[in-house]
Amino acid sequence: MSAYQQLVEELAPRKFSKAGVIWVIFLVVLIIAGVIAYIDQIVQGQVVTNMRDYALWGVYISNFVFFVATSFVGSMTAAILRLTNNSWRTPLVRIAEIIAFAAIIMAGITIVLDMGRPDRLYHLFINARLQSPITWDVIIITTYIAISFLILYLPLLPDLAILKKYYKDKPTLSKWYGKLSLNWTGSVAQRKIQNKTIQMVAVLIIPVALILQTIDAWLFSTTYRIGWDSTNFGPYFIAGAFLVGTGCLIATVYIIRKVYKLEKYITDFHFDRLGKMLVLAALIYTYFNINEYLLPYYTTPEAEAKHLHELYFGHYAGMFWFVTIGGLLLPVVVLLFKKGRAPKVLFWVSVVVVITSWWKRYLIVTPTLLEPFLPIQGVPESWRTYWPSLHEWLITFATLAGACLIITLLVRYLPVIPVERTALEKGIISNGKEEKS
Amino acid sequence: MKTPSPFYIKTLFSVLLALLFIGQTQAQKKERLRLSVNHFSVIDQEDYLNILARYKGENGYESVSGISLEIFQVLAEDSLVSLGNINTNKDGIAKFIIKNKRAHVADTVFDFTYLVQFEGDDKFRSADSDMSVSALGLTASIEIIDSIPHIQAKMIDPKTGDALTEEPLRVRLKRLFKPLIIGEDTYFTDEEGQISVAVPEGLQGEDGQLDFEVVLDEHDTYGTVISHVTADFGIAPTDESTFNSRELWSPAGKTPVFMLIFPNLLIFGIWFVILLSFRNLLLIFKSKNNENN
Repeated sequence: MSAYQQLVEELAPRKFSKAGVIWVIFLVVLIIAGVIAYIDQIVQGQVVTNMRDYALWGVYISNFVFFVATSFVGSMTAAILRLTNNSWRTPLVRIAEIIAFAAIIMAGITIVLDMGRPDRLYHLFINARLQSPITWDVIIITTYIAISFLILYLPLLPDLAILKKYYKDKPTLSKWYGKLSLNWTGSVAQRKIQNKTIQMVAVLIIPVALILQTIDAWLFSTTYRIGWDSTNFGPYFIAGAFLVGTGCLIATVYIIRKVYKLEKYITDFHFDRLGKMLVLAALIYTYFNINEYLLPYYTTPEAEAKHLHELYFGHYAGMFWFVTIGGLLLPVVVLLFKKGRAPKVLFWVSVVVVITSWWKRYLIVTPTLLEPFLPIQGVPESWRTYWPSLHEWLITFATLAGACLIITLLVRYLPVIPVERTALEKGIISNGKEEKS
Repeated sequence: MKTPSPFYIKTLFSVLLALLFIGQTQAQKKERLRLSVNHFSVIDQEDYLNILARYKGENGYESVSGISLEIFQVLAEDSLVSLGNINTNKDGIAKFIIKNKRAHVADTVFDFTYLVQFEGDDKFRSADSDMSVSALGLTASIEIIDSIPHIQAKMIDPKTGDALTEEPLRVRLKRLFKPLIIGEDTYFTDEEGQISVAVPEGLQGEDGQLDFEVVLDEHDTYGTVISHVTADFGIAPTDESTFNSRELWSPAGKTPVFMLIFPNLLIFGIWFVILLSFRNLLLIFKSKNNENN
């Protein structure tokens, strides 16, 4: 077997193991439970949720913000690393692109789940006004889905053509890979168009990703609310997205490396670099958190002081400190040391970062809504507090399972490490043609 | 060690007993409830009592909510007829509509006397308050004098038919939250028991309907008496708002120009590149076919 054949053999998608099948079944069960809960929510109305006049945005919106944030770094990492042409990034980029694509798809779905009348989705378009942040969000999410697809699909073309040949014993699979590869032959003309388009999309995705996060932040900061009325919100959300995205990437890369036994391609060096990225992200995000939570405590009006006090010492104190310590201090303290950036340690730190990042979005959305400047009169006392209902939890877990399922299926059928590029970088082939040795 | 003297023990025991007794007394002490009763008569509509229950708490007068009050009409020789019960609301107020009142008693100064009684509970001692009023004839009408509409009202004693003079009346236009005073704050009836107040132009009312009130406010003999008169010469308000509840934001016509220019430039610029990329995918697909040709 030639070096090239061995490389393709090692990097080609593989069937699910027994654990993989159980994992997929588990995700499907979660999704089915969520679909049932969602059908009931449509039939009975949003009364099945615990959202009321106070908490009119609940766990769905915080989950949506989490997905939007997660989608950021996949594309940003992919774009920046592509443009700077760093060769060490090769095994990581496609995983980042897959995460970004899955997350932004689920962000779009989650926003529909939050709508009381999903059958009126088209109203978002026919009644849209360009001065509404909701309209900006609708436009930017559809735009980002398109770009995330392109940045994932364009570099895949040569690999899909390789897989067409690799699976020649399985005609159906080979046919599909052939169709998806758009009859890729690796000709000069095809490569020229592909490279030009990838460069174009890689440049475009950077401002679009920044706009996406900023609009997500502006959905909140254009609403005059305690805790949201901040000029820092755009960069604060970008920094948060950088952190959660990097965390997600590290956790996913670790699992894929372990399951597919890719230690040869994804080395400790990669984890060391990713660990440094995570520390940088955590430090930047800490800076913005100080701006958002500590500085206002000095000059803040009474209502904001009450809100901050509630976060520091009140009802949300446990969650706030869990998020602050687990999501900001822990990665900085652990990962500053080289031993802390060892794959296993880094994986667990990343898992904590992702979990705390999810709760962080919950903390951004919920406590603020429960403390309006003008309290609502004549509502039941229970409406002044919020905790998601069973329906909300089932639907939320289904969306998280949905994102995991998209990632799992893409990892099952696509080469997670670019085959052709790796072969080129290792000098096994030149310009797509196998070296004769 | 020195043993405490019997006198010391007795004194200590007495003090403890006294403290216990004071504590018990404090615990059993009930608050004094204060009831304020006002009588309202809306001519040709309804009579009702407005009752306010309060007590003097640590922070001044505080309202007493959720207590049950029984309302009686006082007849000859102080006999009582129960008219019903009512509970105070969260502001300590109860509005009791008088439905089955008996005819006035000839040998009393006032025509009607009502007694509001609270039986007492764990927190408040029993309390009562009475209110006496006489019937009043108050009519209101609209007259056009020199092409200007005027509200004319007349006050008479219904028993004798005599005009009531020098009595203060207010003229108001009924509004959703607070009535609008028409003319001066107070007008006094003349020797014929009448007042005449010019209605200013430009008053707005739903569908042009105006609901005026002539009010005798908290009179010692008659209580508060209100007579309504309606007119249709008001101006119907028109909704000039351009807000459309079906729209997500303000109407398209109100979009700032910079909002139309820059976001559209961005959107079309980005989508141009996206569409160009999809076109390039097509070119990649076709380039194979071209090679084959």
